[in-house]
Amino acid sequence: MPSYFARRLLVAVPTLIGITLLTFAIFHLAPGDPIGEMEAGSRRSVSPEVLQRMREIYHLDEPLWKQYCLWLSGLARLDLGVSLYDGEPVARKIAVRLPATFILALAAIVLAWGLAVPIGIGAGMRPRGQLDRGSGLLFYFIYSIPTFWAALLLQMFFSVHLRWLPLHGIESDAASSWGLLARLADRASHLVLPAICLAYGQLAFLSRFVRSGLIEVRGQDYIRTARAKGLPERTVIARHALANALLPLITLLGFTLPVLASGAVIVEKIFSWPGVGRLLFDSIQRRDLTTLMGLTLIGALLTQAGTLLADLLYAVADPRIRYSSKP
Amino acid sequence: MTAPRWGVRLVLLLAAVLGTGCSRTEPASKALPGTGQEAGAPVTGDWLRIAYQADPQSLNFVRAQDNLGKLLAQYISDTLVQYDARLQIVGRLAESWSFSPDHRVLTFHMRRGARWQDGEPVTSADAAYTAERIRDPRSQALSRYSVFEPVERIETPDEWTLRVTYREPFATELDAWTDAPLIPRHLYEKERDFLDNPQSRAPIGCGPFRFVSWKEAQEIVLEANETYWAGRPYLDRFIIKIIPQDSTRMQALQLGEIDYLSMTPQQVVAEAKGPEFEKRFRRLTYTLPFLFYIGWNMDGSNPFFTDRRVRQAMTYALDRPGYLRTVWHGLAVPAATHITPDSWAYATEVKPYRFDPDKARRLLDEAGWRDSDGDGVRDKDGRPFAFTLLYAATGNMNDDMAASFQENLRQVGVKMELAKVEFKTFMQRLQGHRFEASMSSLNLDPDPDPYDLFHSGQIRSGSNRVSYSNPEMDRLCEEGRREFDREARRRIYARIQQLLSEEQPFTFISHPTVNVALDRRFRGVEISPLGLYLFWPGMARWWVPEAEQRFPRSRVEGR
Repeated sequence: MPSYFARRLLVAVPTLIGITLLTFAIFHLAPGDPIGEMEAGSRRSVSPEVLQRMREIYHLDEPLWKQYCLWLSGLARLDLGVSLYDGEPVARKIAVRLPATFILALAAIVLAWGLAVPIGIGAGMRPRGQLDRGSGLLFYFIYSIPTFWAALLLQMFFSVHLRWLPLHGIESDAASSWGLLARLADRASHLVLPAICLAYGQLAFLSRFVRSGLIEVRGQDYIRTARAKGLPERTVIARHALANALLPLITLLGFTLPVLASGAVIVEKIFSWPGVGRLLFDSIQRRDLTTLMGLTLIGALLTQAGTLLADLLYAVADPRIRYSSKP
Repeated sequence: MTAPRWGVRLVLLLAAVLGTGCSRTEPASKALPGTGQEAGAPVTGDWLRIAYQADPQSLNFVRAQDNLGKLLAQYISDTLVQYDARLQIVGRLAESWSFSPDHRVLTFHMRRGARWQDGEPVTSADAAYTAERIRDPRSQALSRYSVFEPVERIETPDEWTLRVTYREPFATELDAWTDAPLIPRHLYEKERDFLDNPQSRAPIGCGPFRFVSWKEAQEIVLEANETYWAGRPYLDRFIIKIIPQDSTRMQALQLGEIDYLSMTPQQVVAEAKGPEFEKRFRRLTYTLPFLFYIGWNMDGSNPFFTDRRVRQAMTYALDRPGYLRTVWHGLAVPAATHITPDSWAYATEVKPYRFDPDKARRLLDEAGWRDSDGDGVRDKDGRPFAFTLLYAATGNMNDDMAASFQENLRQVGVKMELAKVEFKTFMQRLQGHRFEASMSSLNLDPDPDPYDLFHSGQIRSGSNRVSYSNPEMDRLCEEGRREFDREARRRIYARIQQLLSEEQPFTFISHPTVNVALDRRFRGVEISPLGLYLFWPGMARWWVPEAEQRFPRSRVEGR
């Protein structure tokens, strides 16, 4: 197995280089000049000398290959450069946004998986049963609701009309004077609506995924064998069917890693959630090239890490992969 | 101030309208009925909570160029001079100032007794340091840098005197200093990096409020500076919440989480009404110093727009009033030139063109554009009158405007194609003069000087993207910059407005209005062409009667 891991890691290296190259290329080959556009946002014509000085400061006057090398050497030192917009280190800008995004994404994942997996199992146990049909219909219905609309409705109903839940933000104004428990409860109540908005769209495919996996496995010979041994149905499902039916979920879990850190633009914006998604949104509006590159790179790296992690977990969970990888 | 924010900036309507600091329609500096200046002495206490859509660029006041950054700078720090509600420049840290007879030397006499919030005195050395940093390209002070370019040298004969020498006299010398909030030299000099240092995030100022906290993407909290030289502001706290979504801001207002909101036209029409709303909020309206326009490229690369009659015909043909009525719900002022009706320089005799397609047809006929082959499109010398309107992909508002203008022009036999391009490409083509007509918008300054836009010297590397060249305009622009007497300047700019109206280098479309809802409990509120905040003393003189305070001291103390 170590050799399998080593090979997977080795393959990741060229991908990594590809990611940096692509990220750099996408932003630098796009039309326009990031400095020239600063003028667009300023009050008066900005003298060409200042713009030239700024190009020098950000090395934008150098040839592209040199800029790429400079950027890479910065990356090697975990330095993502400084923001074109406000001169702050990009890494710091992203780091302060990570906790909020992470918590929100985690809450949404727990909510989505916590609902979808049991319901998917239930539906898979009795295909075309009441739960299967009911959940299928309901989940596809809510799947088709656009997030921004759902968010507005939830805000209007639960925050403005009923006043049960906070409208937006991450904590109440007065929270700093409260005790720990009250603060935690306050934070949790702020999480509810955004987490629901992020989660509901995943219910449909997650539950169907689990359901079809289970249905497929239930027809397998070893399940019939288990039943023939006289095992109770519970044991058959829990021990033999589920373990195999849920294997593909590892792949899905791998894909959630980048989600944890890249943020949700629409939900974070509507709920004034101070996360990475809003940084992305603001940076696009500000044409902040360096921050956008940093965000893109981190998203890509986490996607790669997620895939890698999924592959490795697969190898741990499914002996067939380890063995078949041996010559 | 000098030229408008000529960097032709396409902004979503919302972005423009939601910036808080702005201007107004009503005569300048009028106490609001029922709020300010009525019986009862001001008392201290209570908070003001407003919302902005994004964080300030920086709290390094030399670098920050955005509306919120400037607003915070005005209140955390102090300037030497500042506009008051009537757009007169008054002293803040400068007790007085004087010009040399040739107007090349400006001397400020600073007030003694002003202190940084860490206790150090504010001296001329701080003012000189601030200007030096602005003049250093590494500070990336962009527009401020340009404004300080005419400065030759800055001296500090003593601790309280600042002497500024200009290369040549410049009518808006003083204006530059209204946008130069002081930064503390003794603190900044300790830092290795001018931009990336603690002051950029938690500044020590010398203004009416002191900085308390900045939770990124959440809120910024300021509190009254008890030791401010002009006396502490009445409000205890000034809180800016960062709420990016329009609808969330509106709901936050209705839930009482914020006290002030710049509303979108849709919100004004659909939500800001009803007895409940009226009871809680006062509605204020003022004109934003902002211009929507179409620029006609006159560099000779197309056969159409070098002819003044054609440009006039274009303006007559476009149903601007109808457009403002339907799409903007009337929440915009038709523009006659780049000068808003609020400006001291506004020439009332210069009126926006009316919508008159017949007149447009006559003018086009006169200019020799006739439909000789009967295909519905005018032509001349075998060339049909067909051109492309370039605009940037920033929001739907532009699409609506472009489509309705396209139809207007079809009615008079002119074919206009639409080219919607990505913003970067748009800016590049504008800067390279590679367009026939372009639809865009500009931020304007309080000063009427249009030098950057229409002086022929600005064609090659400035903001005169339409290549407008007229010796009289050049002369007037230069004179306006050299004249110091306001009456004389008014005459110069009146002539400039006449000229612009006749010449139509742009089709001036509109100035949007800002529509504000403000909680009724605030008193002492003044409205100016610069909005409710960006003038002196602005919000520093707002107060709330004790009985109406939502955050009275007694309840808040101990937090």
